[in-house]
Amino acid sequence: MNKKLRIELKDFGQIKEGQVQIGDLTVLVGEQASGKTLFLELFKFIHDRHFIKKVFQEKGFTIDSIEDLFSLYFGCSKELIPVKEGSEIRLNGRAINLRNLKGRGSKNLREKESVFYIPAQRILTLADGWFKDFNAFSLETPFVVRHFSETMRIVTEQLIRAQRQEPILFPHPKRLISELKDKLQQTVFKGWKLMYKAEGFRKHLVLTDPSQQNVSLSFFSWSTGQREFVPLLLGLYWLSPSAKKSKRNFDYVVIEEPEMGLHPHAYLDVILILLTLLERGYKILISSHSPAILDVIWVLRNLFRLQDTTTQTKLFMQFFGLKKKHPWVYKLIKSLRNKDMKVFYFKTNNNYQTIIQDISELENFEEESIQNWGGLLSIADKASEVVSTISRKLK
Amino acid sequence: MSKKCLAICCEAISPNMLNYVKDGLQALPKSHKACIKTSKCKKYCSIQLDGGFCTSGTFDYLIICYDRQNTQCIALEIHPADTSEVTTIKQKFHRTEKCRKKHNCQNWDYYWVPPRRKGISIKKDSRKWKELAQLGIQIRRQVEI
Repeated sequence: MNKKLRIELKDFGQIKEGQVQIGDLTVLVGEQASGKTLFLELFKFIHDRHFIKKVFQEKGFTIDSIEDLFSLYFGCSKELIPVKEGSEIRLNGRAINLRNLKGRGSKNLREKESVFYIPAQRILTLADGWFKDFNAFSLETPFVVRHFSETMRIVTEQLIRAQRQEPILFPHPKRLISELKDKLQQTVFKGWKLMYKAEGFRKHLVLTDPSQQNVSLSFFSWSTGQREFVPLLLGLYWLSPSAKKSKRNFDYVVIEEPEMGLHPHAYLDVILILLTLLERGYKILISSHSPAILDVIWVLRNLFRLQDTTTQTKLFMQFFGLKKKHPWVYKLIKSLRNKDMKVFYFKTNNNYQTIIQDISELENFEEESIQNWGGLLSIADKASEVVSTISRKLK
Repeated sequence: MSKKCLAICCEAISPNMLNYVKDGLQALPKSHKACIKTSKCKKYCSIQLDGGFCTSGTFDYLIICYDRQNTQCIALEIHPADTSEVTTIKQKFHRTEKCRKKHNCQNWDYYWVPPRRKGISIKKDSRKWKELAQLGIQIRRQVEI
């Protein structure tokens, strides 16, 4: 688990070639359809293929060949399976054969799930305010969406059962540090409570106004950001147990586009929660179209250049808008100091093929490939250029 | 220059620079003084760096401000804040840093201010802004010291 993992790819889907060295926090950036999701799905498949096969079989699917499994897993027809004849996948330099499902070790060990995946399509999992069943999705739905929905349904039911009185899911008394809850309350929920409501045989998640107990907003009346955020929040709850255990049995957490629908202020709070997951010992892989996560890595890298821990803490708190020096802040900063943070750019060429570039040295602005942080700074740069030209012309 | 100011300058900068130190903000012309907001609780002295103490092509001024507890040295460049000028500012910064290191001075804070408090046409989330931040150069419409 402590060993650094390097994945090399050649001719996999639209990815022509490249390698990704997995750090404690690994961020993937790149344009649409550059292969980020495909890479992340492959990452889960490499680690959990025995588990995935077991789940499909338990849910009543018949898997006769590896193509059947690929097709069901990626949610595509057999012709579109990204694993081609010439595809090469290497793990730490060793070629791996995804078609081989025999594997080594005991059955229990092989069938353990080691990657928890929060997909970008998480909003689709909440149909009418309640998580859909694994089999309620169409065959074209990727495994990661079906499985996330099924897991969240079970987790949410557990959370509701565990609360004897009002089933309040946010702010939850036993999940998240109170300061983080306060921040999310301000930036995302605006004082409203996320609650469970049963009407007849139907289950719902609703937002209720604390000042008027009987007033509740159903799922479709929530803001887009709230609808996107609630499945992510419940996923984060699942990863942050409140009991003696500091983490679940997953080694890796994959989160696709955690910024979806969120204002930058709210997104910064979410990033802070993600950093607490790093402290719990998970390795996190994120795909993103927002420069905010790269800003955080840039800040942390520079912050740890300082020797003075008091100034480090002060600046960390200033950046994340934390007001009180709680012990968890010191603990978090201490643990982040040794974390390896990597950034990879999925760069698409004119033939719509992707080459993966390591742009982890964000502070190295002289380096051409890093300059624009995988294109995430390019609009701001262009805007500055245009406005500067206008100002010069007006003089 | 008062004895106190002389003592502070001796600690903060190189002895070679003492001949160039002027009381208050006298090293700055009146139009450039408007770029700085001073505090009544602090005292100041200033040096003309560009074309003065250093060879040309460095930041314009060094301002030393101090109170009972702290002394701060601020290198100030008054220059239009335009994206096309970022390369020039970076070059000036490197020359100024070279000069500072050569004379064993303590760390300086770098500020780039547009003349007559004009606008800044560099976006805060742009690469160029971040590039300057990485070097420790802050862009302000007016520096509060």
